[in-house]
Amino acid sequence: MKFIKVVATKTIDVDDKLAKACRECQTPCKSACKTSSTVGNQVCETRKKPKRFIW
Amino acid sequence: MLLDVPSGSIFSLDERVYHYLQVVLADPSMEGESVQRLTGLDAQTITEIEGELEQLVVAGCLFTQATQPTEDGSVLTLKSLCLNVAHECNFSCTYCFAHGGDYYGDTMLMTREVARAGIDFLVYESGVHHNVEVDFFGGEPLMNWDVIVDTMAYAWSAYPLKKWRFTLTTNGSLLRDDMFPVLEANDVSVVLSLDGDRRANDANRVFKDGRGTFDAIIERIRRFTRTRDEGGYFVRGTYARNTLAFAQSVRELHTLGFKYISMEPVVLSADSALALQTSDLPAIRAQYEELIAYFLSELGSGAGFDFFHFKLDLEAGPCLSKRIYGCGAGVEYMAVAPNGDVFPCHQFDGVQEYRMGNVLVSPVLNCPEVLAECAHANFLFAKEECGSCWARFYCSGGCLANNYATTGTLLKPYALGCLIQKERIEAALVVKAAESPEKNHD
Repeated sequence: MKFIKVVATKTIDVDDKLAKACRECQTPCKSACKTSSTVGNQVCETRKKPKRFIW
Repeated sequence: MLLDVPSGSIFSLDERVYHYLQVVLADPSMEGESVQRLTGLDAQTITEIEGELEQLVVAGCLFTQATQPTEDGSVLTLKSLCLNVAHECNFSCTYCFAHGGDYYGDTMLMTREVARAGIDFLVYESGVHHNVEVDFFGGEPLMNWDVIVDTMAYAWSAYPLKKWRFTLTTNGSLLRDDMFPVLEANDVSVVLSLDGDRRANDANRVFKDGRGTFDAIIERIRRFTRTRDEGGYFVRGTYARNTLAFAQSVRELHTLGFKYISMEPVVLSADSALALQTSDLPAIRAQYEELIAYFLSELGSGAGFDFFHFKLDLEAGPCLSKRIYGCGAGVEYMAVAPNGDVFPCHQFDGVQEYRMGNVLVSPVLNCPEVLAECAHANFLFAKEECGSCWARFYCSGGCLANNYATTGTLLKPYALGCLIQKERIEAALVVKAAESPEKNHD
């Protein structure tokens, strides 16, 4: 495209992922006294194993 | 930047597209010469821009339908536990929410019995969950190292079918070399608190007698982090009103040799001299812009580092179900005080209104109304302000403890925290856009 750079598409796949919700991924504690993690910092662990996780 | 919130599609825009969208979104009925006049673009350019936008709409990446999931608290079961093993600290940091570690009570260390009962409680409540998480917290948790070691050994031996994931949040002052192999053997992720170089750190992180802590901890933290070149730690700083130049602090931490860095805004009551104010937002934005430039510059020079809040995984992020529930406080995540009392999270430790039970008593949980309140408050769309926020699927609804501390209710977001959160997410998206190669929209 000439005017628009596509960074990422459909990073939230409603139909597929909602059905698979296992909630095994890390719990995102948002407290500043840890690392104020948010779901934006998480990965889906059924698709990608994190090397380590950090609260 | 253009973010299609429901689908999570992200685009970086030419300035001409940005102006075009500004004009037509302000008045969707506008067309033809009016658009040309207000955008300053010629007809050919507008046609090309509209063609590109149309491609994205057809591909289902732009102007997608907003989703409104229904609330179902039954999906939330306990899987993370904070063991507050020490209501005591050898530091007296000026911004400490825990009142120098004693949580406004008597100093106390958790016993092995309480810690083991906490593990039993977590396993019982977590049911079929395979992954379970335990964070050793304080005060300064290394004041109770023997209990930490015993607890991890107990967890592995008593419940070998669970995948145990331990974290430790420490000020680093009591780290010893003989602890390193134990932390490694148990795969413990470590959060080390350090606010920057001596100037930034010692502004707020001080001993009980007021002396700065930097010189006492820097070599200990360095010795430990050298054993983790591939990750497994974050050096985590806090910025407050007197240390607002946090981009410089991150640069200092990187210069000190740390590769995994996080920097957090302090949360204090508005009347505190160190509390961030709404009037600080322009400065905070400028700091993120400075940090982005430094981060990308170091990345480009081959000396890159991890900044926690820039770690957005656009390829393998969490599912929508995860994104519509928050931190899990009081349902997926709870905290145990040294005396065994259970609270929704470590920041609620000692708030009797939110005491949920005690791990030494059966049944442990005896306050279903707090459980129900927390389950509801975790639902993203239960908070009016969150439902229409562009950052909702990255933030998932803010920190319940901060909400409670600043507004007196779990359901009313901490407004300044939201504004800072959005600055942070926007910065992360900008970094992702800069890192990203051009992609085909298909």
